[in-house]
Amino acid sequence: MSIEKVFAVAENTARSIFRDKKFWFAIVLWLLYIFLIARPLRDISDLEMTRHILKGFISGFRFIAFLAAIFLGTVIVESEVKKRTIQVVLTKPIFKWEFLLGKFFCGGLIIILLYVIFVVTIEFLSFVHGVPFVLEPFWYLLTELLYLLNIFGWTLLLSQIISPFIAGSMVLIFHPNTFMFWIKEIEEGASPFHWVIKKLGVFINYITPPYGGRLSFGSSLSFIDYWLTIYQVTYLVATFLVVCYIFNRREILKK
Amino acid sequence: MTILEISNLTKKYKTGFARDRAVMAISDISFKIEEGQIYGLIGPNGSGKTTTLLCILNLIRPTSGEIKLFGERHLQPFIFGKIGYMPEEFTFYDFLSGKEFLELQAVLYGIPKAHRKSRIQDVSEMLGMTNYLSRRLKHYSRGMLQRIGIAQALLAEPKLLIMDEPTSGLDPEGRKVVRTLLEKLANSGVSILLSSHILTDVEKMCHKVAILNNGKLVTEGSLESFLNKNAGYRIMYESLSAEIPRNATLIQSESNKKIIYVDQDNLNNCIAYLTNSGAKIKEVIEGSKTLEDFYIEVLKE
Repeated sequence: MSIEKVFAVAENTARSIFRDKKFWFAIVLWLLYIFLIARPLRDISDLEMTRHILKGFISGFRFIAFLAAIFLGTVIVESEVKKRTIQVVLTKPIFKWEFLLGKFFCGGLIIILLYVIFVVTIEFLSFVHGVPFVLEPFWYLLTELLYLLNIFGWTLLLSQIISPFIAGSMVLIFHPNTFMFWIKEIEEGASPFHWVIKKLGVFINYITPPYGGRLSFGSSLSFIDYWLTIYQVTYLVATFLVVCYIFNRREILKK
Repeated sequence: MTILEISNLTKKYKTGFARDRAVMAISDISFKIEEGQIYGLIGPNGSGKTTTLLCILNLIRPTSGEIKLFGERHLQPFIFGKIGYMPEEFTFYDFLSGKEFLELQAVLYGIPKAHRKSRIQDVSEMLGMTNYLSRRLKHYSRGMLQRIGIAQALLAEPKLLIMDEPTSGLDPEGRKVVRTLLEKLANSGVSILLSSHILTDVEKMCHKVAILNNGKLVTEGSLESFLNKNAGYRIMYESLSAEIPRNATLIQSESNKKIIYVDQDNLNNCIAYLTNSGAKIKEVIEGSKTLEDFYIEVLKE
């Protein structure tokens, strides 16, 4: 194994993102969004109301980060296959898993970067408005990051088997929280198939990435959070191994 | 020493919704390349040239057959340290500069850090790219991309070079530079497998040639045996008749002007036939068949 090759792949992928104008355009849009959110918050005197708005802001960010992880998972390898740039990489003495590990590193780097921006923003907003915002930095970031990495890995895995667009859509639809929402809707509508769908939902809940992240206003970590982290890491490693297995067996290029 | 040996290589693609239909991309292809040999794969579009190259490089999984590189099965990645590959449509990381791109390729080849700079310098000098390395690849012309593609293939001083259309997109001077370079490499013991549409280049460079058509290897052998040097004549004539003499090969036909090729034994019969049928003979030139003549003849058969 050559860690230098892994980092070279990761660095090259990161370069492709950082040198893309669309990426910086998205960052500017993000900052603009924060600016627009910060302005009405300044005029609200009720602390509880501010807290609610901040919570909404956090949920909004989670969704954006979730979409970003899905997007990364669908494009990070498949764009190289589509543009056929992969043929000048895989015809070198490099293992396919080294290439994939580089891609995973880069995915992690981008997600971490998103989180740095997010944490700085949240800290800034709560400091400005005097909200007693408690963030358990290490565990919160770790579980949330692992969750997003799992989503990224899961999308990457599916896009090895089916078209990246369908893979991304599937992760979006069968994401446990989204799916549970649909189950609830179906049950309320008394669908004759609700039992089957509920069982399917439970099954999907078991196989899809474990949900993590506990952003809270003053709550503390429980014992289960530590186990969740271990489970997430195990899930991530297992996903990576399955991706490697499929990537190794698949046909890289189709003439 | 045999560098590359392909035996009964076949690639079928499954198509259709139920994957129940099969399209044969290449069928039962066998050939081998010796050390220092330049081997040309020629054939019309869709004949299976690129599929063959991609199978060798493990980018496409063959349905059956065996590929041996340096005497070993090709699946181990370390083998690729001895191979340089230049793809057909040179698709690149357009956000990188020429230097960054070559540095990335050098890392992937596992060239030690101490030697990377000098290797990049050497190959870029060899291809006249030194002044363009700081420019981003998206600003490169087609010819420059072709050169950087060749440069990355030469970085690790390969023992086998696989090149898909190495001279397409180059101006005549650039083509000559590449031809000279490849001949020089072959003389130093590097084996070269290339596919090309530019038959004049193939004729000038290659020692052996294989002609592919519809995924099958039609013929394979040394250029000398194909072209049968100095043993034939080209006859240029004007005739309204569509018929051509027996034992002659039609090389070119534009309205009533035709060029045919005949061997020495059939020359007199052929001239007599043309004169009797009222054709106006414009020119008879002694000389060997060109690869193009042979290629057209083989494909017609």
